[in-house]
Parts: sequence; structure tokens; C-alpha cells
Amino acid sequence: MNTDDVRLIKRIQAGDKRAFHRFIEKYQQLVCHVVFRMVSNREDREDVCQDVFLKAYQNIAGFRFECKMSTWIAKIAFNTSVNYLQKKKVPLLGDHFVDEKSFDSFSSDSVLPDIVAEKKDIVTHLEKEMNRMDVPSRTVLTFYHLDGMRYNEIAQVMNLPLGTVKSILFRARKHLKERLMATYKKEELWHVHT
Amino acid sequence: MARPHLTDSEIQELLDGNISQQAALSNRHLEQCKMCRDSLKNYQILTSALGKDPGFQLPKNFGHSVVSRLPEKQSTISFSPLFEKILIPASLILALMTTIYFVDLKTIARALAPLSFFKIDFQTALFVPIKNLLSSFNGSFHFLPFAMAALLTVATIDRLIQKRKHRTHIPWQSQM
Repeated sequence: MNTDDVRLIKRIQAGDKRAFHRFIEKYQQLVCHVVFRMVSNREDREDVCQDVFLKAYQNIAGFRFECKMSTWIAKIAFNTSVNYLQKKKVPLLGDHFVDEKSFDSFSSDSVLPDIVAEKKDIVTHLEKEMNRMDVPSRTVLTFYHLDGMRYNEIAQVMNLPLGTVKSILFRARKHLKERLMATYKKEELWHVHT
Repeated sequence: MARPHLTDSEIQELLDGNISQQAALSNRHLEQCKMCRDSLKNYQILTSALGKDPGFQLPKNFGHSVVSRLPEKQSTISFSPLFEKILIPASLILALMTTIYFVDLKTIARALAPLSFFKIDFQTALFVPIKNLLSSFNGSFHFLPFAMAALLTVATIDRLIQKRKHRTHIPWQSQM
């Protein structure tokens, strides 16, 4: 852990709220990625993010510098989101990929109406595809590709064996690649990318 | 003999930079095989897109609104009820035993005289056995590290119980 983080945490542990504000600024993007990917309901996302930081504040006195701060806050964000989904009775584990109908009924606000525009934007298209995937798949994809976490860090956060994390990641990427290949022609895809 | 096409897993291993002897062989195959090269390229396009910011944003005043909701006083590490239930009597017994060892018994007996209506002879019922027990250590204080070790064990067991109690149950952990 870098010295800046250590200093920041010690200041928070001493009750410095301005230091905690800096902590929020530093980690809100990471928390936002996890929560927004796991929680489809837009109205509740900000509340869940707030809960994550409130829990972090309540528990930071017990932080023992045994892991990276990013892993610690990611674990809180992940557990808070899981608790939220369980409370809302959202199935966390379906048939790996939720069918379009059930996804749309749960979160119709996330679906873009303009399919043509969507096709032009590969990131938007992938976002929609990911929202149809089960929670573990999109969470592992987020941690690995968006937050740059390693297999072992993801395993620690999600409390899963390392091999399981890797197999979820590989399976999810394979599915997304197939979906991309089904939507775009090869030349189109390569052109869009370059 | 020509090397067979790379499996999907091998391509993804290459993509993640999990370099091994296998990967070195795969690289040589890639130079010659267009199909595998295309597959790798598709994965590279995918991972590049997955790493792009999806535009998730929290409101600008998010930090301030969280700070305004923080409790006035930050909570400190508190012991769980089970820990307190065991630790407090254990500490009291330790304190009593140490006091009895160093202080004149008659003084304590006199101090406890008002409680004599309980018809308990503290000197014979409590102090003498404790004094004898402590004397059996021949003045050495080996029992103190022992007592500390016992308390530590209790604390550890309690921590394990608490950890189990507050663990988030995630359904897929038992299924994957």
C-alpha cells in the first residue's frame, strides 16, 4: 500500500472528515463501476453508493493495512450490492445469461431505443449485452477490465476460488465476443475499432 | 506435424498475458494461422471496448452529501457481546486474584465485614483457596502469560464467530 493511502486512512481513523471526503473522491469511480454494473435500477444506485461509503466510514477503524485499500472498498461495494439485490429479490444467478424479456421488464430504462445508433457504438452495445448477463459475470468483467484488478484480487473481493474467477471471465468474454460477431461483420467491427 | 488451432482458452490466456511455454508455442502458430490471428484480434477489440469508461457518473456533490450523513463521532472498535461476557468476568477474576496475592487478607476481610449478613466467611471460602493457588506458583508469574493466552484464545474464537455471523451469503459461492 502506498504511503499516501496510509496517511489518508490514519487521518480518517483519527476522525478527520475532510480526509474522508478525499477518500470518497479517490474511490468513488471504483465504487460507481461496481454498483452501477450490479444494480440495474437507476433510482437506487446512488443510495447504494452512499451506503458503501457510510459502511466504509463505520469500519475504517478496523482496517489493518493487510490488503490494498482498493480491494477493501471494492469488497464493501460488492457485498453492499449483493445485499441490496437479495433484499430486492433479484436473482443473482440464473442461467448465466438472462433472457432479453426478463431483463427488459426489470430495467427498461437501461435499454436504448435507437438500435441503429447503438450499433455504431460498440461500448454502448456491449453495455446492453452485459446487462443481460448474470451478476457474477458482469462483476468479474468490471473488476478485471474497468478497474484493472488481477484474478487473485477479484477472488478475494468475491470470495471465490481463483480458478472460478478465471472461468467466469473466460466464459463471459467468449459470450460477448460471439454476440459482437453476431451483430457486426468482421470488417465493420475492425473498422469501428480502428 | 502442424500444431492444431489454438483453443479459446489459450487465446484468452495470451490476451491476459499469462505467458508460459505453451504461449510461446502458440505465438509461433499465430504467425502462420490467420483464423487464430483473427480470433485474437476480435478478443483484443472486445477487451479494448470493455476497458473504456462506460460513462457511469455520480452527482458532483456526492462526496459532500455522504460526508453530511456521517455520524458526529466515528465508531471505534467495539467488543462483541460474547467477548464482553467472557472478558469482563475473566478480567475481574484476574484483578481479584492479583489483589489477594499482594494485599493483606485481614484488611480485605475487614472491608467486606458489612456483608457478613450473607453468612459467608470470605477468608476461608474465597481468599485462602486463592492465596494457596497463587502460592503454588512459588512467586513466579507464569500464570499471567497463561491467562493472557487464554484471553487471546477467547478473543480469537469470538472474532471467528463474529466473522461468520456477518459474512454476506452469496448464492453462487456454493454453486460454482
